[in-house]
Amino acid sequence: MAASLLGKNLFLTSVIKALRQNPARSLFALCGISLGIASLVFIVAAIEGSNQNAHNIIKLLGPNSIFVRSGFGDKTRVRRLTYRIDIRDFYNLKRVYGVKSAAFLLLKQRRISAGGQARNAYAVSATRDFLEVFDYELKEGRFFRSAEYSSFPKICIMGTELSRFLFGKRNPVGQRVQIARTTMTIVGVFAPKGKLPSGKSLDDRVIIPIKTYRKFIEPEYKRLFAVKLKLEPDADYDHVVSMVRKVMLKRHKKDDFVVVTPETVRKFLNIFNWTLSLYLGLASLIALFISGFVMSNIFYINVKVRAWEIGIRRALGATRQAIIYQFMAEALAISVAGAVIGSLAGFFAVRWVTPLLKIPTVYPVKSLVLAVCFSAATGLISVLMPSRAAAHLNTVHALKSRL
Amino acid sequence: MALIQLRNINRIFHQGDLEIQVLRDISLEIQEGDFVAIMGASGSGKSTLMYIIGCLDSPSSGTYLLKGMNVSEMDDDRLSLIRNESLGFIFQSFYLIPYLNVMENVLIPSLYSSKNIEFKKRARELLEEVDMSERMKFLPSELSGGQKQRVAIVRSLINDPEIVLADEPTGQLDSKSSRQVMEILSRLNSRGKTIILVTHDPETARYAERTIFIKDGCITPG
Ligand SMILES: Nc1ncnc2c1ncn2[C@@H]1O[C@H](COP(=O)(O)OP(=O)(O)OP(=O)(O)O)[C@@H](O)[C@H]1O
Ligand SMILES: [Mg+2]
Repeated sequence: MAASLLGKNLFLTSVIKALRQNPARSLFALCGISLGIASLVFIVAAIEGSNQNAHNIIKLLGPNSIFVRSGFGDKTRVRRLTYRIDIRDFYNLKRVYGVKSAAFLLLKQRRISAGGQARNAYAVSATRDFLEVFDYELKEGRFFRSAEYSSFPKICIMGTELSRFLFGKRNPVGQRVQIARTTMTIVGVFAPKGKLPSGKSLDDRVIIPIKTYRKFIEPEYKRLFAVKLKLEPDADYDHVVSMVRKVMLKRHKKDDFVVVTPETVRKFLNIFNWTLSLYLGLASLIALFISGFVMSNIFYINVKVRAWEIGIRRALGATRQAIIYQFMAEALAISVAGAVIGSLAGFFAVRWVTPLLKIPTVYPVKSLVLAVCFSAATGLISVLMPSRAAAHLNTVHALKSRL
Repeated sequence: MALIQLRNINRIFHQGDLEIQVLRDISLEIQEGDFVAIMGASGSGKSTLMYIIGCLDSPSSGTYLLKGMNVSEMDDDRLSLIRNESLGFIFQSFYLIPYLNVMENVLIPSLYSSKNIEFKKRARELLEEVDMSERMKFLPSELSGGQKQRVAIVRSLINDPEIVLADEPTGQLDSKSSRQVMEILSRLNSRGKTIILVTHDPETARYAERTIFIKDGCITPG
């Protein structure tokens, strides 16, 4: 019965035409569902985006590495924002058992110009191990030679974004660039490293050998932004992490530094995801609930207004089940349309709102399926009662209800 | 055996504490191929009787045998099937679904049917026969009363039922359209369909071979 009914063209035609017959009611139901779905899609996007954030950080961190970032000390007291980690920490950390190599991140924003273009960007100092520890790869030219770390050559390696700004599509290798008050020669370009979760590009920088950096960019080098450690392949990762914490706590308070490991990134993002899911999930659940409620009521009105139509269909041989299927199909059509419209609206929200939340913009294509399922479920459940009411109308009363 | 057999049918409506007996002890037989008119004043119970014969309503007491089968023992699905396959309905106010065109309206019974009929072909032939083949894509709102009723007649016939029930089919039509409609019903009858016509109009009832008079819910002898 069901199959033979649903298999008929006229059934579908009738469903679509019935919805078009009452545009206001259909539209109202559609809006409700769409809104619920839009918020659902947005949540999925936000969660996927923040997951991608985690992935990016973990990928940036690289395998078998620990990143120790400077905190700003006690946040409750207003102080000058100075990095809390210093060069002694660096040497202490380097000596931790299981650490293969280490490098610190020391950088300053400077005015960088070439060929009439200028902008402020980070100048980053590089010790001998820096490029290896921070997983830099070469795109163009060469890295620094060993001897260049012990003299004061005016050379640098540039990021692709900065290079594009200064030189456009031209190959910058061999070109001169003004960094602060010093003219340096570009010897290489490093392969793109992408963006930080904050949206800041890691390719908008220039790397300078440490001695050159101290002489021409910034003599102060005791305060460090961060230290990165690479572990021996057979080191016990968790043990090294706990040793790193111990070493740091000897000289610092808890708030002075942050140890970043894949584990801590995941933990932080889990908490973030949880709160996000909870709040937005609740919101979209409420939205779906309300839209279901709206839909249910609209269909009760439908059943009342179209009672005589139900009557004549019953007279012409429709079983109760057939009447239920008819209203269910109408609800389903609205739900599917609502899922599509809601998803589009959700995608728009993703486009405009996720950048404000500093989340990568991810279009959750997978959530389309989710949206359709949720929407269909909402539609079908909310129309269950009205369609049953329709099926159980007294046929004669229903027929006589025509004005 | 009679196609339709009613024995001591009563129909009582309850309105609060009030009991309204609309049909009293109705016994009646209709043979296959009959053309029967049910006549009576307004409120006499004609429509109520037709609804019972049409399996749209059940009697409060009494027995109704349709093709020898006891209708009061059937469940709702079975009754729907009987309405779909054995009964055709024509009403005073047409009941064409406003958002479907003529062709689609005519095909509604086929939605619920498992009969193996070439419905579209049959619909086209029947519409041709009632002179409506040029308006297959028209909406009901674009038709005159007489045209609407002719579409409704085609709809009642699409599933090739044995019995056609018509409740005041000419009630909203002018005399010319009425004549057209009644001539179509006569023609159907001459081809073997059993027709049960409810009317209070003697002019219309004249097309029938036999007339049953109802007064205050009872069959009266003319
Ligand atoms: N569901 C109901 N509840 C109470 N009374 C009803 C119900 N249905 C019908 N009646 C009453 O039954 C009586 C007969 O109604 P019915 O519709 O059968 O009359 P009728 O002969 O078809 O009249 P008309 O020519 O005006 O159509 C009327 O008095 C009506 O008020
Ligand atoms: Mg009547």
